[in-house]
Amino acid sequence: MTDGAAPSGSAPAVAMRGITKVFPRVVANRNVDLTVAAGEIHAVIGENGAGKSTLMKILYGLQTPDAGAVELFGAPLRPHTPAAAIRAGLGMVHQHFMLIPPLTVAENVVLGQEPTRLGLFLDRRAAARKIEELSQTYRLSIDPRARVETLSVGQEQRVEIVKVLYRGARVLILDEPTAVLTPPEVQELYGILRALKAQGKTILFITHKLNEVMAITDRVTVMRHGEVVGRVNTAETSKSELARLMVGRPVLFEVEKPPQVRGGPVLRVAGLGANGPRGLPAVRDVGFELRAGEILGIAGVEGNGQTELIEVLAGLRPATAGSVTLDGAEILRPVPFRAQRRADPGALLGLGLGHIPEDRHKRGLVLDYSVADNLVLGRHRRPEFTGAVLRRGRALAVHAAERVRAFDIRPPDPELPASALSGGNQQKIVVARELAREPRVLLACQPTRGVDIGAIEFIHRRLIEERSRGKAVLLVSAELSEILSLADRILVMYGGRIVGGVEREFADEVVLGRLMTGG
Amino acid sequence: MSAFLRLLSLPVRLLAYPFTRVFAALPARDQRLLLTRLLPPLCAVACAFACGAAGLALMGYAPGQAVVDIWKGAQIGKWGFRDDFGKILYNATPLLFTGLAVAAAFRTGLFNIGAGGQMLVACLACAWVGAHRGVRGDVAVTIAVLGGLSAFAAAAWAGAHAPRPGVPGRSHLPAGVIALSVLGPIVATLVIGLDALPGAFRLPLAVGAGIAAGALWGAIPGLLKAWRGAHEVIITIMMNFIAAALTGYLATYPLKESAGALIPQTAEVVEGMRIPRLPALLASVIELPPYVQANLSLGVGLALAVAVWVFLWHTRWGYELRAVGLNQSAAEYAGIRVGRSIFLAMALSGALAGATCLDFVCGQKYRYMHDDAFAYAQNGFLGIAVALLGHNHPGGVVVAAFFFGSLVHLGSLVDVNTTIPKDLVLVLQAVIILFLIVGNEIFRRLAERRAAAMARLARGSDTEVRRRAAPEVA
Repeated sequence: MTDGAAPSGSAPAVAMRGITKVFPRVVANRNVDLTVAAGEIHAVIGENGAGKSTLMKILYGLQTPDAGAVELFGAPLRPHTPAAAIRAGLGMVHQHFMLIPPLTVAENVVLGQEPTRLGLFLDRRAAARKIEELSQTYRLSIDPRARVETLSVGQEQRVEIVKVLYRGARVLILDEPTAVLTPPEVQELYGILRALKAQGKTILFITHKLNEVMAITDRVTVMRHGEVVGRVNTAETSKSELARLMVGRPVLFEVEKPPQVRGGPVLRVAGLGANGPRGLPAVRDVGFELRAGEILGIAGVEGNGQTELIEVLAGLRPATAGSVTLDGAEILRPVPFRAQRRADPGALLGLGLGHIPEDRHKRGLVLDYSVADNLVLGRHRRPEFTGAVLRRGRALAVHAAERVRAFDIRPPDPELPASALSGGNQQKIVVARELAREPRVLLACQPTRGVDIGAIEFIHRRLIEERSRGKAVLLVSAELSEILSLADRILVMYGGRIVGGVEREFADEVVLGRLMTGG
Repeated sequence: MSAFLRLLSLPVRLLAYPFTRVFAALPARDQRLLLTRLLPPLCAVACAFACGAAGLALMGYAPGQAVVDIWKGAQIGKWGFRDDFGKILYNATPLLFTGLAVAAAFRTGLFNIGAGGQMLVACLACAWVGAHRGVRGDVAVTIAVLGGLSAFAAAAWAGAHAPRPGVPGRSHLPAGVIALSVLGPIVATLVIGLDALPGAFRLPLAVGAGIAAGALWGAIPGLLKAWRGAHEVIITIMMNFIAAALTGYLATYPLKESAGALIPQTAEVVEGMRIPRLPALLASVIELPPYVQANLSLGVGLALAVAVWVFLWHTRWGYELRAVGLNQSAAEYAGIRVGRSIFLAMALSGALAGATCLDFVCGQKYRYMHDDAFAYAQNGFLGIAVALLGHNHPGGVVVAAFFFGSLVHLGSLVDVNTTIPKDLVLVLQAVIILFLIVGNEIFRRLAERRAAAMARLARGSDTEVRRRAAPEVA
């Protein structure tokens, strides 16, 4: 490996010393030191709100620290702006890609720094040549002439990496780079990262997935509540130690699952079809049976129809074909001469459907409502919460206090607006509410997305409990590990279809990974 | 640089010191309330007045002298400040109604620009029913048939929405019964002839007709939005023009007082329609000039503010409407019918705007006078500013209505007592609105940051507990 082969000799690629950043009434970073040697893959890990993003924004010049210094390759970052950081060799690969779909790879990459002929015309050939060069050096296998809209997510990410390299980056910051990738794509990314390292690039890897940290990084900096709580060499640590550092207490990775008592089918879906947001078919001929007392996992890379499927089942999106039976009641059936039909969400709630939506901010919560009001959303018409005219304020308060206690929602003040709570606690509101409904069928979509490890464990335990009590749970998750640890049976969606189904005993990442990519 | 700024702001901070101490001692929730509710409008008004003064100075007027002149001018005359007080009450009355109307729609995420049009049709409907002398035979038959049809439709609608198996809490039978019981008497009365009715029934019937007309005028844009997604701002603006033309036509031709009348106005309403004016009502409390036209409807407006507050914050319908206003997707997810909520909110808003007919017809003119009504309907636009200043909250609307009522009165004082053009007061109003919008945004961000910080702080204290339980390894 190219140990210390960075241009500026032995100076570390990134040295942040004593970084402190205080937002009104909260310390985002407290006296943080981060040293990244040139040519290493360095992970910064921590739960949501641990201060990782603030630290990276400070490094990239987007935010000014209240105290502390930033040095890149031994030279202080001055002025403290992104432009200076880029000049010093820093490049950020964003979690959300910033590409223009109708343009080609080359056009996207050179955007803002176009090579020109006669200072006027875009020199496409020169751009393509440069990109091919980069592509070969780092084994990116990117065709500069392809349109971005034809690329897969993994390829798009590689275009982002090329973009950063094209601008001469020597240090790459990757922010949660695997969130959108399939398992094979993750492996490819690892290959690329190793190639980059071999060429002397330094990589800063922001993540909260410990498997990835163990697989690819050289050193790890662990953050918790704005402070660095650990600096370890990956070779000398373990997943459980890292998790303990991140959370501050031991974490159980495996949820204990009592043996299953599978009952009769409660949700029957047959031949279901639906269109996506652009009016194109997103769900095609989907059929399955969900039984009482089981967790049925739906695995798949995001954007393969899972969102639309759940929305149809919850009555939030019309179906174009097929039928759905919930506990014997036909909630969706073919109607002659009508192309699109949808179930009434209010009626479904009455029939015993619970739904943890994938986007809690969009669907699951009214952020400006108090925690108490959010805890009855969808149940607000029940006689115990509302009289003939007025709502029952005391009953609402009692209910809220009970839920807040049972689900350990923090801060324990039901009158706070939901927006004042952290993501994990917001998610707990949604879960607490949906379970209070005593649903016979629970649609749980990405139930732990953006939730910190402690809350993940809690939510997983509650889902297992529901299953043990004979409820049927349909679990949609982009996290394979979540599906594998919770589900009794796993279906895989690809391109809007169910391309395979396996019992948990026969499933592993390899099998599912192959199905998830349509193979 | 920052030291210089600190020095510069020293006097301000010294002056503010006692207030900041009081502020810091308050519970966090009250702090947030003050910060988000009270401070932005106060700052906006203060900034706007400062800007107005600066503008006057730049244009060569002496702002200080103007204040003195206005102050002196305000107390001239037999009635002194009581004249100003009465006029402010008079100005504030319609603003209460329209401010509530705009605020109620706003809470459902709708922007009702059409309060003016809703007022016009309401006033005309109220005046027509209030002055109506009975119906000719053929017209009576037509109305009876129409009434019967609509009663049938209402019953059918109620039947179609009868409880379905497995769908709790969806009974609309009461609504159907109410619709029938309201429609029935109206139809009967129209057929028999209004003259047969005791005078006491005339007032609620006529005002009810006005409110219903306003509600209908508001419901049309609501329906178009719910059904076809037409933008309510465009539609309500258009409905304003339609209302002005329609009422103008009706008051000039079919419903004109008499063929010989010189101006477009309807016949005078019956005696029992007149509601008492404030000088008479408040005689034992304060002696107001007898020419003050402010009337009982001011009290009705205040009561409505309470009613709207109860409706929006303490009933399940209000809960649903506000949920639709804050997050439509979440409302849909919770089984709330978004389209129906939009329709209802616009109808409610139109009804509140239409309730101004109580003030205009029953309290001031005792008939529909088109030109005056048209001027009166400008209160519909001012209602937007009132709602904005009042933070779309009924309590705030009450305060803002009186504030804008004073501002309008200030305009006439400026006109009479100074050489400053009255239009500058209009400019001042506009500047206040601008400052409000900017100020709201700034304070919203401040409040958001505080909320996030508080949440993080709460999590921090929870970490303390954890840390003690499991000492960290560095």
